Amino acid sequence: MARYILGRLLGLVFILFAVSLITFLLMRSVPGDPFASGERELPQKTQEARERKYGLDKPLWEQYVRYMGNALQGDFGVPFQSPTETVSGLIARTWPATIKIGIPTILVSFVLGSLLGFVAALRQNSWLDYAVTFAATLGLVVPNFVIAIWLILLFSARFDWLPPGGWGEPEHYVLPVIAYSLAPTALVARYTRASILDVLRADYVRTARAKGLGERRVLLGHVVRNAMIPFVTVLLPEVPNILTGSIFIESTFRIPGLGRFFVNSTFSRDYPMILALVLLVAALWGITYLLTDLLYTVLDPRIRLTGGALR
Amino acid sequence: MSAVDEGAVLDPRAGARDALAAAAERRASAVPRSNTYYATRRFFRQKLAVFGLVLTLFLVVVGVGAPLLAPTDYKQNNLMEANQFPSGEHWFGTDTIGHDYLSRVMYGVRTSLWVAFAAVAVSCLIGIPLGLVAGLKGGRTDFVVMRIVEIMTAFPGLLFAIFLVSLFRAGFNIPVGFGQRIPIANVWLIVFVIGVTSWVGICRLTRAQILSLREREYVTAARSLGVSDTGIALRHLLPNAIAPLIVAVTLSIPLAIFAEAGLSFLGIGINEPTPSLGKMVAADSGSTLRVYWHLGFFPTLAIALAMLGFTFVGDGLRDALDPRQN
Amino acid sequence: MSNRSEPRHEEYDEETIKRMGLLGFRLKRRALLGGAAGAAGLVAAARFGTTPTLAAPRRAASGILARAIAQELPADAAPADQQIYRAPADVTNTRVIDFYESVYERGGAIADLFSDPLVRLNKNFEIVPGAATEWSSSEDALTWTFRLDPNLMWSDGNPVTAADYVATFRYAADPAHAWDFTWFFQGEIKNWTEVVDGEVPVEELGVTAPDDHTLVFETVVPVPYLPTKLLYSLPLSKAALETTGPLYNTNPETAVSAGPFILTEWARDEQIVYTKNPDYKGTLQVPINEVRVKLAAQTSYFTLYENDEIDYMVDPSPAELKIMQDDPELAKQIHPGLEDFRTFYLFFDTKTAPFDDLKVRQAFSHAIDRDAIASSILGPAGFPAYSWLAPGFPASNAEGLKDIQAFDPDLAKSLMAEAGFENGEGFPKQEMWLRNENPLNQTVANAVAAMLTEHLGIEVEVSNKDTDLFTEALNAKPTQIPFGYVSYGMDFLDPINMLSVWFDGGRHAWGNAEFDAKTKEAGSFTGSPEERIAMFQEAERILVEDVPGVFVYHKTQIQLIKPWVTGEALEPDAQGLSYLHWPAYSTTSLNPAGLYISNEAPEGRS
Repeated sequence: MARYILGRLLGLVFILFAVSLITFLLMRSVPGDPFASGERELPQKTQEARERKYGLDKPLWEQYVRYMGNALQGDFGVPFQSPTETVSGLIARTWPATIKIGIPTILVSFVLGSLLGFVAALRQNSWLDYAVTFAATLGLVVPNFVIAIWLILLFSARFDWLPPGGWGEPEHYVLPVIAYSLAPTALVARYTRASILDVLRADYVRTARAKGLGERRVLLGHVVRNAMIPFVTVLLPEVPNILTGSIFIESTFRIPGLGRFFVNSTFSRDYPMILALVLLVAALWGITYLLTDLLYTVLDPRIRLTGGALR
Repeated sequence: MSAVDEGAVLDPRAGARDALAAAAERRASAVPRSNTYYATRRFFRQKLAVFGLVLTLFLVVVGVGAPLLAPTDYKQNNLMEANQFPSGEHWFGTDTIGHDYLSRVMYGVRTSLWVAFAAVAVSCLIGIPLGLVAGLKGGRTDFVVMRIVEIMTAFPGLLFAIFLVSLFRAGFNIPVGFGQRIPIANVWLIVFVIGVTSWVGICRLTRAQILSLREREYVTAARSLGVSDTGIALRHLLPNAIAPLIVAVTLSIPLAIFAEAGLSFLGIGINEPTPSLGKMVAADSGSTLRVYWHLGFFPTLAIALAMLGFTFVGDGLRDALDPRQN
Repeated sequence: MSNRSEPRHEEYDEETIKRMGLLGFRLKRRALLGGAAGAAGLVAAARFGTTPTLAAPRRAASGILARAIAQELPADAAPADQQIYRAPADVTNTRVIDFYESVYERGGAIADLFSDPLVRLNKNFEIVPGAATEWSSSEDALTWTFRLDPNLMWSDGNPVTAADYVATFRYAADPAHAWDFTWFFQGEIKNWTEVVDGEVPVEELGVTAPDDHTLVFETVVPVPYLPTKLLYSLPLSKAALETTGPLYNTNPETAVSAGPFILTEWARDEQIVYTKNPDYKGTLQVPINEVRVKLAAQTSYFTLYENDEIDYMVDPSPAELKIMQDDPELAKQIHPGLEDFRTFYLFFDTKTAPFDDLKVRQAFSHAIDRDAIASSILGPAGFPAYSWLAPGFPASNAEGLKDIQAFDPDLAKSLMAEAGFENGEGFPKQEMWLRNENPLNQTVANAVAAMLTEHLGIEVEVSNKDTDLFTEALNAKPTQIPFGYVSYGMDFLDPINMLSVWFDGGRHAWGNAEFDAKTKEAGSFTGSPEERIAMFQEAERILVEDVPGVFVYHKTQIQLIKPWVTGEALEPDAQGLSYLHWPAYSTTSLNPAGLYISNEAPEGRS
């Protein structure tokens, strides 16, 4: 097991480097001058001086090596878009807001989603089942930023029950979490329903029933445990995304989180920031997937880990 | 992972779809070739699936037939009739520069469906061959392909999409020099970007299928008879792996529609004057919808119908093609 | 053009005036477009420029500029602790709050509160004293001397001296600093270009301080308009520059101010708080005690405004404007103003086919129905443009140039045919580049594209690019943008500023030696102001006739201001318009001088 984990971590390091290199090459081939914001063209010499000032005049390979060298020591540079702080400082400042929206989103999706799925499965083909299935599909059919806009129109502009956006008070969480968790909730519900139905039909459950075990014990013993599978299958892969925020949700609800930087950094050609964010996502991804696979072995003993360094 | 990777970014649910593919892979469940007749029967027994099929066909008819069915051409406008609410003359009202909005929505369906189909085709063109090769050759080839897949998965797909769009938005730069740029039609660029960021799921699924099939007796038999690898792949493996792929592709189409909407939300979608559903639902802010509700409502309805249709059809196909469900 | 000394707009067309009337604000015929607007400012500027005598101290041009002595709040004012003024700034565009770090990304220019520039514009676009009490130029108009107000103090106790200004200009020109505004003084201040290019040490810059309260500018050519340019002369504290470094004003602990406010909080991505500087000794009268800048995306300004979280915003979207207009009470909060005389226009790469053909460009210029755009899309947010300089701007000749690019679809068609593109056949498909435009301008661009398709039979796509991509492609030599839609607004109130945009080798791929020569000659002309104007007008005629740009509309900035924001700054200007003027009070330089919060304001604003 330890060897397996070590192998996976080594693989992760490889992935991080590959991803950083690809990002670096891609972002530097994208046309657009990071400092071209003005109305008038800068004098040629000023242009060159800017490149010198930000180290962009060096050969590309040198810039990359230098950046990664510093990054290994924890220094991700200074963001072009906010030169009065560091990249690490900026991420440390904005990430908490994103996480504060992300964790309730994950909780709501999981709890509500599996509850609905569970109920629907136990009452298969009843009106309740249809209602849940239909609602769960509705949660999937409209992009979350569209949902966000309609939520604001309804609950803020029309009824004035909730603030249309902002940050700091508990009521600021309500609409973003609804908009953000609708789709994952729907997914978890769908998968829970399917997986419970699967289990109910499975031989070992039939056997358990046949042996005369009470319905309740059958459910608790086998079924609930299997309800965890959708969580691992559906929700865990979402965790890196949810925890790094959504530009769509954050910009619509004015949450001062990390989400908008993914897009803004590319639009403003903020090279140090882009690289740091990509590394962050890749690392989170790697860790999440390692966790997912470990959890599988716990939940489903039929799955065995095989030794390869990488999956 | 990822059925459709850009989704992993453009939309939270994409990752989950990936999970579907992943789960299929983990179970390494062999889906034996279903008798088409029984599969069809199973499909049509499901009311939701039939409903989805009707919806999908309806939208396809609207999209394909837009030039014949729409009241006006999508480019035709009358500035003096801008911002009108739905009426007998303009059933869906008019937009900010006086296009007949019903026509715009119909052409929007056309563009969005076209983009989605083309993008999924691109991802199949990349994903299926890679998955086949990886599954068939195994060893070093498999290792390399899987590393590429992992890198693609770990890469924030939204960033990747923005990079690609920005990279080619000003036209394709001829590497030889001269500073000349070949303009790329903007719609093709969007298709390409969505396709290139979403092939990973298809690739993994193909590989998983091949892995589970390659040790079957008939494959071993064919091999012992001296059939080449390519022959085996095309004649025996691919046809047997096709069922789950069809499901995955069906479920990828709505995700591609969302991806296009996401790009539009960020202002890097399809150029005017070509209408697309994604652009229409994404472009207008809340205050616009407060005043001109029809500008948001009709395209949102259309996109929701498309999503419902494809999702139900996809679910139905999965149930019909996967006998374990029955 | 004629030798008219003042742009006269009495005969400005009835249709336009009516449309301006749509604005729903009190607007007399002469008012908005009225000759008074920029003409007054122009004449003032020109006079200062051409009169090499000591100008009399021009203190107290208006109440706002009266020295702030014992400020008693007016009777209808809210209590002192409610004298909070809240305005939004674009969060993505707030890199810094410092003019000398980035002029274009300083988030609503809010750092401009920390010291006084040498001069200011008042709300009638007249140049009035700021930190300088008087100024004069030498006989040859190559040397300018400014006398500084000796009473000004930094909040750290040091006096404001000419040495602060010298240090600031040196820092601005320092090649290692690579400021994004170095173009501004290029070819004007002595040695500026050389210092920026790193050929001459900063110490040799032509900005010197013979004594503590005298500042001397030497110029390379006569620059009669130098004072108007010195709106941009906010000094940094020399002491703070040396001890803390150039970004001392981004941290409340190191902030030093000689202006009306001082930084007390910068919660990044959320808000910036400025508190009144009790030691302020300058000319502005500032009843406001605290300025809160709410950082948000521009798309959410209106929500903030409706929610009473901000007191002021600009550029509502068409739908937002409609929400305001449809309610008689809210409609009173709409204040349109001239802002920076911004003109939106189409531009071409005139060095490459098909736009190297004048006939094609002329055809484009005749295919655009500006009146329809104004009435159906812009409403009060702008009015038709047929020339470059907006009415009210010095040397504007809107009326005289009106017919050159007039809407005439038949003429447009025949010009296309003459150019070999009958009904648009054979004309390559065009992509119209936009520079990260807002919804209003995307709509205008879409309408323009539709008109080109309708009247010329050509295909036009509209593509809204991000600013970095657009700017790099625009500035590339040769340019990478064949066809686009963009705008320009003044940096300072002199025709040379707007016209120099079109110099050969400059912003656009167009060159006309005669235009360049005439404009440059007029620029450093020190004779009579009337003659100077006439020279500029000749140059503008060349510009309009050669169609490197198709002028679409002149912007009117829509400001939404809560009813409890009141005061002298919002009293009607000479044209009867009530709005917060550029640059002293607008977003470009958010400065709440001359404003106070009345007792109508809801309690507990924060």
